[in-house]
Amino acid sequence: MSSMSRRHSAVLAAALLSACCLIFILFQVNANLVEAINICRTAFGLLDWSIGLAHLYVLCFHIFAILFLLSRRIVNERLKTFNSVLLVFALLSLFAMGVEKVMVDEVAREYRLGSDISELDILNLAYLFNLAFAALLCYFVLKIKKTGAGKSGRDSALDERIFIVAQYMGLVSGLLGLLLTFDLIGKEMAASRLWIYIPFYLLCTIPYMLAVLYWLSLKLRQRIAEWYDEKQFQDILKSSLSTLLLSVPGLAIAVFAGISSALYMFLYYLFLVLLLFSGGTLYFFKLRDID
Amino acid sequence: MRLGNHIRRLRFEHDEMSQQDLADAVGVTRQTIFSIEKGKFVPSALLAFKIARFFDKSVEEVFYIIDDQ
Repeated sequence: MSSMSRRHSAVLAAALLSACCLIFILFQVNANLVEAINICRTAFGLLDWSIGLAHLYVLCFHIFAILFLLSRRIVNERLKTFNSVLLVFALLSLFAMGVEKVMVDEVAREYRLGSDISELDILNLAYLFNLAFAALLCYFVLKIKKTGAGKSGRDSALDERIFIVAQYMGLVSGLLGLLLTFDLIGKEMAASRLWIYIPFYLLCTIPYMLAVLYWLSLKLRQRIAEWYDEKQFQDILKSSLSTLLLSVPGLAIAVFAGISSALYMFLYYLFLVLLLFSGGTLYFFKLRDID
Repeated sequence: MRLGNHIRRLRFEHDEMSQQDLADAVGVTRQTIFSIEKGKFVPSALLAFKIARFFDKSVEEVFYIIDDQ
Protein backbone atom coordinates (compact mmCIF):
# COMPACT_ATOMS: atom_id res chain seq x y z
CA MET A 1 0.00 0.00 0.00
CA SER A 2 1.49 3.38 -1.02
CA SER A 3 2.00 6.11 1.59
CA MET A 4 -0.76 8.16 -0.02
CA SER A 5 -3.19 5.25 0.20
CA ARG A 6 -2.22 4.74 3.86
CA ARG A 7 -2.85 8.43 4.50
CA HIS A 8 -6.29 8.21 2.91
CA SER A 9 -7.13 5.15 4.98
CA ALA A 10 -6.02 6.98 8.14
CA VAL A 11 -8.27 9.94 7.31
CA LEU A 12 -11.17 7.58 6.64
CA ALA A 13 -10.64 5.80 9.94
CA ALA A 14 -10.39 9.12 11.80
CA ALA A 15 -13.62 10.38 10.21
CA LEU A 16 -15.48 7.18 11.10
CA LEU A 17 -14.23 7.35 14.69
CA SER A 18 -15.29 11.00 14.88
CA ALA A 19 -18.74 10.03 13.62
CA CYS A 20 -18.97 7.34 16.33
CA CYS A 21 -17.95 9.86 19.00
CA LEU A 22 -20.60 12.31 17.80
CA ILE A 23 -23.30 9.63 17.76
CA PHE A 24 -22.29 8.70 21.32
CA ILE A 25 -22.44 12.35 22.45
CA LEU A 26 -25.80 12.91 20.74
CA PHE A 27 -27.27 9.82 22.37
CA GLN A 28 -26.03 10.77 25.83
CA VAL A 29 -27.15 14.40 25.57
CA ASN A 30 -30.67 13.44 24.47
CA ALA A 31 -31.21 10.32 26.60
CA ASN A 32 -29.31 11.34 29.70
CA LEU A 33 -29.08 15.14 29.70
CA VAL A 34 -28.53 15.79 33.40
CA GLU A 35 -25.54 13.50 33.69
CA ALA A 36 -24.23 14.04 30.17
CA ILE A 37 -23.53 17.77 30.72
CA ASN A 38 -23.08 17.48 34.48
CA ILE A 39 -25.91 19.88 35.31
CA CYS A 40 -25.79 19.09 39.01
CA ARG A 41 -22.04 19.84 39.05
CA THR A 42 -21.08 16.63 40.79
CA ALA A 43 -17.56 15.22 40.73
CA PHE A 44 -16.46 13.99 37.31
CA GLY A 45 -17.44 10.39 36.67
CA LEU A 46 -16.72 7.94 33.86
CA LEU A 47 -19.46 9.42 31.66
CA ASP A 48 -18.05 12.94 32.03
CA TRP A 49 -14.57 11.78 31.08
CA SER A 50 -15.94 9.78 28.12
CA ILE A 51 -17.88 12.74 26.76
CA GLY A 52 -14.97 15.10 27.40
CA LEU A 53 -12.52 12.85 25.56
CA ALA A 54 -15.00 12.40 22.71
CA HIS A 55 -15.24 16.21 22.35
CA LEU A 56 -11.47 16.54 22.44
CA TYR A 57 -11.08 13.86 19.78
CA VAL A 58 -13.66 15.54 17.53
CA LEU A 59 -11.82 18.88 17.89
CA CYS A 60 -8.48 17.27 16.99
CA PHE A 61 -10.14 15.47 14.09
CA HIS A 62 -11.38 18.80 12.72
CA ILE A 63 -7.88 20.27 12.84
CA PHE A 64 -6.44 17.16 11.18
CA ALA A 65 -9.16 17.20 8.50
CA ILE A 66 -8.52 20.87 7.68
CA LEU A 67 -4.80 20.23 7.27
CA PHE A 68 -5.55 17.20 5.11
CA LEU A 69 -7.89 19.23 2.86
CA LEU A 70 -5.32 22.04 2.57
CA SER A 71 -2.62 19.62 1.46
CA ARG A 72 -4.59 18.04 -1.37
CA ARG A 73 -3.57 18.80 -4.94
CA ILE A 74 -6.58 17.64 -6.93
CA VAL A 75 -6.33 17.37 -10.69
CA ASN A 76 -10.00 16.55 -11.29
CA GLU A 77 -11.93 19.87 -11.51
CA ARG A 78 -15.11 18.59 -9.88
CA LEU A 79 -13.23 17.12 -6.94
CA LYS A 80 -11.22 20.34 -6.62
CA THR A 81 -14.48 22.27 -6.10
CA PHE A 82 -15.66 19.62 -3.65
CA ASN A 83 -12.37 19.96 -1.78
CA SER A 84 -12.82 23.74 -1.47
CA VAL A 85 -16.44 23.42 -0.35
CA LEU A 86 -15.46 20.77 2.18
CA LEU A 87 -12.75 23.06 3.54
CA VAL A 88 -15.29 25.81 4.18
CA PHE A 89 -17.62 23.21 5.72
CA ALA A 90 -14.77 22.09 7.98
CA LEU A 91 -14.16 25.62 9.24
CA LEU A 92 -17.88 26.13 9.90
CA SER A 93 -18.03 22.77 11.67
CA LEU A 94 -15.11 23.84 13.83
CA PHE A 95 -16.95 27.05 14.63
CA ALA A 96 -20.02 24.95 15.52
CA MET A 97 -17.94 23.34 18.27
CA GLY A 98 -17.63 26.75 19.87
CA VAL A 99 -21.41 27.11 19.59
CA GLU A 100 -21.77 23.72 21.31
CA LYS A 101 -19.75 24.92 24.27
CA VAL A 102 -21.92 28.01 24.65
CA MET A 103 -25.15 26.01 24.25
CA VAL A 104 -24.10 23.39 26.82
CA ASP A 105 -23.58 26.17 29.38
CA GLU A 106 -26.89 27.78 28.44
CA VAL A 107 -28.83 24.50 28.64
CA ALA A 108 -27.33 23.72 32.04
CA ARG A 109 -28.16 27.21 33.31
CA GLU A 110 -31.72 27.13 31.97
CA TYR A 111 -32.28 23.64 33.41
CA ARG A 112 -31.17 24.74 36.87
CA LEU A 113 -33.50 27.75 36.67
CA GLY A 114 -36.35 25.48 35.59
CA SER A 115 -36.77 27.36 32.30
CA ASP A 116 -37.48 26.03 28.83
CA ILE A 117 -34.34 24.43 27.33
CA SER A 118 -34.95 25.20 23.69
CA GLU A 119 -31.20 25.70 23.25
CA LEU A 120 -31.01 21.88 23.24
CA ASP A 121 -32.27 21.98 19.63
CA ILE A 122 -29.41 24.30 18.65
CA LEU A 123 -26.96 22.01 20.44
CA ASN A 124 -28.30 18.98 18.57
CA LEU A 125 -28.10 20.88 15.27
CA ALA A 126 -24.46 21.75 15.93
CA TYR A 127 -23.61 18.10 16.63
CA LEU A 128 -25.49 17.02 13.51
CA PHE A 129 -23.50 19.57 11.52
CA ASN A 130 -20.27 18.01 12.83
CA LEU A 131 -21.62 14.56 11.93
CA ALA A 132 -22.52 15.74 8.42
CA PHE A 133 -18.97 17.01 7.94
CA ALA A 134 -17.48 13.68 9.07
CA ALA A 135 -19.79 11.84 6.65
CA LEU A 136 -18.93 14.18 3.76
CA LEU A 137 -15.23 13.76 4.42
CA CYS A 138 -15.61 9.96 4.32
CA TYR A 139 -17.39 10.26 0.98
CA PHE A 140 -14.69 12.61 -0.34
CA VAL A 141 -11.83 10.32 0.69
CA LEU A 142 -13.56 7.32 -0.87
CA LYS A 143 -14.01 9.34 -4.07
CA ILE A 144 -10.36 10.33 -4.35
CA LYS A 145 -9.23 6.81 -3.46
CA LYS A 146 -11.40 5.53 -6.29
CA THR A 147 -10.25 8.07 -8.87
CA GLY A 148 -6.65 8.26 -7.63
CA ALA A 149 -6.99 12.02 -7.99
CA GLY A 150 -5.58 13.25 -4.71
CA LYS A 151 -1.85 13.83 -4.58
CA SER A 152 -0.08 15.36 -1.67
CA GLY A 153 1.46 18.38 -3.36
CA ARG A 154 4.87 18.63 -1.76
CA ASP A 155 6.28 21.20 -4.15
CA SER A 156 6.43 24.92 -4.74
CA ALA A 157 2.78 24.95 -5.90
CA LEU A 158 1.73 23.67 -2.47
CA ASP A 159 4.01 26.17 -0.72
CA GLU A 160 2.48 29.01 -2.68
CA ARG A 161 -1.08 27.79 -1.98
CA ILE A 162 -0.44 27.46 1.75
CA PHE A 163 1.26 30.88 1.83
CA ILE A 164 -1.77 32.52 0.17
CA VAL A 165 -4.25 30.57 2.31
CA ALA A 166 -2.41 31.68 5.46
CA GLN A 167 -2.80 35.32 4.44
CA TYR A 168 -6.52 34.89 3.76
CA MET A 169 -6.90 33.16 7.12
CA GLY A 170 -5.02 36.06 8.71
CA LEU A 171 -7.57 38.44 7.20
CA VAL A 172 -10.44 36.33 8.52
CA SER A 173 -8.92 35.98 12.00
CA GLY A 174 -8.02 39.66 12.20
CA LEU A 175 -11.50 40.71 11.18
CA LEU A 176 -13.23 38.31 13.56
CA GLY A 177 -11.01 39.42 16.44
CA LEU A 178 -11.68 43.10 15.75
CA LEU A 179 -15.44 42.53 15.47
CA LEU A 180 -15.48 40.62 18.76
CA THR A 181 -13.44 43.34 20.48
CA PHE A 182 -15.68 46.13 19.18
CA ASP A 183 -18.75 44.15 20.22
CA LEU A 184 -17.45 43.77 23.76
CA ILE A 185 -16.48 47.43 23.95
CA GLY A 186 -19.96 48.34 22.71
CA LYS A 187 -21.50 46.18 25.44
CA GLU A 188 -19.23 47.97 27.95
CA MET A 189 -17.91 44.66 29.17
CA ALA A 190 -15.52 45.25 32.04
CA ALA A 191 -11.93 44.44 31.12
CA SER A 192 -11.63 42.32 34.27
CA ARG A 193 -14.28 39.95 32.88
CA LEU A 194 -12.67 39.56 29.47
CA TRP A 195 -11.11 36.23 30.49
CA ILE A 196 -14.54 34.62 29.90
CA TYR A 197 -14.15 35.40 26.22
CA ILE A 198 -10.73 33.80 25.83
CA PRO A 199 -12.23 30.69 24.12
CA PHE A 200 -13.97 32.97 21.61
CA TYR A 201 -10.74 34.84 20.91
CA LEU A 202 -9.02 31.49 20.46
CA LEU A 203 -11.72 30.50 17.99
CA CYS A 204 -11.07 33.73 16.08
CA THR A 205 -7.38 32.91 15.76
CA ILE A 206 -7.83 29.21 14.93
CA PRO A 207 -8.06 29.71 11.12
CA TYR A 208 -4.78 31.62 11.06
CA MET A 209 -3.00 29.38 13.57
CA LEU A 210 -3.97 26.25 11.65
CA ALA A 211 -2.69 27.61 8.36
CA VAL A 212 0.57 28.81 9.92
CA LEU A 213 1.12 25.56 11.84
CA TYR A 214 0.61 23.53 8.70
CA TRP A 215 2.95 25.79 6.74
CA LEU A 216 5.54 25.40 9.52
CA SER A 217 5.16 21.62 9.48
CA LEU A 218 6.17 21.65 5.81
CA LYS A 219 8.95 24.22 6.23
CA LEU A 220 10.67 22.70 9.28
CA ARG A 221 12.23 20.15 6.94
CA GLN A 222 13.92 22.95 4.99
CA ARG A 223 16.63 25.46 5.82
CA ILE A 224 15.31 28.85 6.97
CA ALA A 225 16.87 30.52 3.91
CA GLU A 226 14.57 28.39 1.75
CA TRP A 227 11.36 29.18 3.60
CA TYR A 228 10.45 32.02 1.23
CA ASP A 229 11.52 32.81 -2.28
CA GLU A 230 12.99 36.25 -2.93
CA LYS A 231 9.70 37.80 -4.04
CA GLN A 232 7.93 36.55 -0.93
CA PHE A 233 10.71 38.03 1.24
CA GLN A 234 10.36 41.37 -0.50
CA ASP A 235 6.57 41.33 -0.22
CA ILE A 236 6.69 40.47 3.49
CA LEU A 237 9.14 43.33 4.07
CA LYS A 238 6.88 45.78 2.24
CA SER A 239 3.88 44.48 4.15
CA SER A 240 5.71 44.86 7.48
CA LEU A 241 6.57 48.49 6.70
CA SER A 242 3.00 49.18 5.58
CA THR A 243 1.66 47.60 8.76
CA LEU A 244 3.96 49.72 10.89
CA LEU A 245 2.88 52.91 9.13
CA LEU A 246 -0.84 52.09 9.05
CA SER A 247 -0.96 50.93 12.66
CA VAL A 248 -0.19 54.49 13.80
CA PRO A 249 -3.46 56.00 12.52
CA GLY A 250 -5.12 52.74 13.60
CA LEU A 251 -4.02 53.35 17.18
CA ALA A 252 -5.00 57.00 16.92
CA ILE A 253 -8.52 55.90 15.96
CA ALA A 254 -8.61 53.71 19.08
CA VAL A 255 -7.59 56.64 21.28
CA PHE A 256 -10.17 58.99 19.76
CA ALA A 257 -12.82 56.25 20.01
CA GLY A 258 -12.15 56.24 23.75
CA ILE A 259 -10.62 52.79 24.25
CA SER A 260 -8.96 53.37 27.59
CA SER A 261 -8.46 49.86 28.96
CA ALA A 262 -4.96 48.51 28.29
CA LEU A 263 -6.35 44.99 27.70
CA TYR A 264 -8.83 46.17 25.10
CA MET A 265 -6.10 48.25 23.46
CA PHE A 266 -3.85 45.17 23.32
CA LEU A 267 -6.57 43.01 21.71
CA TYR A 268 -7.48 45.76 19.27
CA TYR A 269 -3.82 46.27 18.27
CA LEU A 270 -3.15 42.52 17.98
CA PHE A 271 -5.99 41.88 15.55
CA LEU A 272 -5.45 45.16 13.70
CA VAL A 273 -1.82 44.22 13.02
CA LEU A 274 -2.84 40.72 11.95
CA LEU A 275 -5.40 42.17 9.54
CA LEU A 276 -2.99 44.77 8.12
CA PHE A 277 -0.04 42.38 7.76
CA SER A 278 -2.03 39.58 6.12
CA GLY A 279 -3.86 41.99 3.85
CA GLY A 280 -0.64 43.76 2.93
CA THR A 281 1.21 40.54 2.17
CA LEU A 282 -1.66 39.29 0.03
CA TYR A 283 -1.81 42.60 -1.83
CA PHE A 284 1.91 42.78 -2.56
CA PHE A 285 2.32 39.09 -3.36
CA LYS A 286 -0.68 38.50 -5.54
CA LEU A 287 -3.16 41.30 -6.08
CA ARG A 288 -0.84 44.14 -7.08
CA ASP A 289 0.54 42.20 -10.04
CA ILE A 290 -2.88 41.62 -11.58
CA ASP A 291 -3.50 44.08 -14.43
CA MET B 1 14.84 52.32 -16.49
CA ARG B 2 13.09 48.96 -16.35
CA LEU B 3 13.97 45.30 -16.91
CA GLY B 4 12.36 43.47 -19.81
CA ASN B 5 12.62 39.75 -20.56
CA HIS B 6 11.92 37.05 -23.12
CA ILE B 7 10.85 34.43 -20.57
CA ARG B 8 7.36 33.92 -21.94
CA ARG B 9 8.67 33.36 -25.47
CA LEU B 10 11.38 31.03 -24.23
CA ARG B 11 8.83 29.03 -22.23
CA PHE B 12 6.70 28.50 -25.30
CA GLU B 13 9.75 27.52 -27.30
CA HIS B 14 10.47 24.87 -24.67
CA ASP B 15 7.48 22.64 -25.38
CA GLU B 16 5.04 25.30 -24.16
CA MET B 17 6.33 24.98 -20.64
CA SER B 18 4.06 26.35 -17.93
CA GLN B 19 5.00 29.04 -15.43
CA GLN B 20 4.65 26.45 -12.68
CA ASP B 21 7.14 24.10 -14.33
CA LEU B 22 9.66 26.91 -14.74
CA ALA B 23 9.06 27.95 -11.13
CA ASP B 24 9.70 24.39 -9.93
CA ALA B 25 12.85 24.19 -12.04
CA VAL B 26 14.43 27.37 -10.63
CA GLY B 27 13.05 27.03 -7.08
CA VAL B 28 10.59 29.90 -6.82
CA THR B 29 6.81 30.26 -6.72
CA ARG B 30 4.69 30.53 -9.85
CA GLN B 31 3.65 34.01 -8.75
CA THR B 32 7.29 35.08 -8.89
CA ILE B 33 7.68 33.90 -12.49
CA PHE B 34 4.39 35.59 -13.37
CA SER B 35 5.56 38.87 -11.80
CA ILE B 36 8.93 38.72 -13.58
CA GLU B 37 7.27 38.16 -16.95
CA LYS B 38 4.92 41.06 -16.32
CA GLY B 39 7.85 43.28 -15.41
CA LYS B 40 6.43 43.83 -11.90
CA PHE B 41 9.34 42.17 -10.12
CA VAL B 42 13.07 42.46 -10.75
CA PRO B 43 14.80 39.15 -10.00
CA SER B 44 18.08 38.95 -8.15
CA ALA B 45 21.24 38.26 -10.13
CA LEU B 46 21.22 34.67 -8.87
CA LEU B 47 17.65 34.02 -10.02
CA ALA B 48 18.33 35.71 -13.37
CA PHE B 49 21.33 33.44 -13.90
CA LYS B 50 19.29 30.36 -12.86
CA ILE B 51 16.58 31.21 -15.38
CA ALA B 52 19.11 31.90 -18.14
CA ARG B 53 21.00 28.68 -17.39
CA PHE B 54 17.75 26.72 -17.45
CA PHE B 55 17.05 27.95 -20.99
CA ASP B 56 20.70 27.43 -21.91
CA LYS B 57 21.05 31.12 -22.77
CA SER B 58 23.15 33.97 -21.49
CA VAL B 59 21.53 36.46 -19.10
CA GLU B 60 21.62 39.16 -21.82
CA GLU B 61 19.66 36.88 -24.14
CA VAL B 62 16.90 36.48 -21.55
CA PHE B 63 16.82 39.95 -19.94
CA TYR B 64 17.26 43.44 -21.35
CA ILE B 65 17.06 47.01 -20.13
CA ILE B 66 14.20 49.27 -21.21
CA ASP B 67 15.23 52.91 -21.11
CA ASP B 68 12.39 55.21 -20.04
CA GLN B 69 12.13 57.96 -22.66
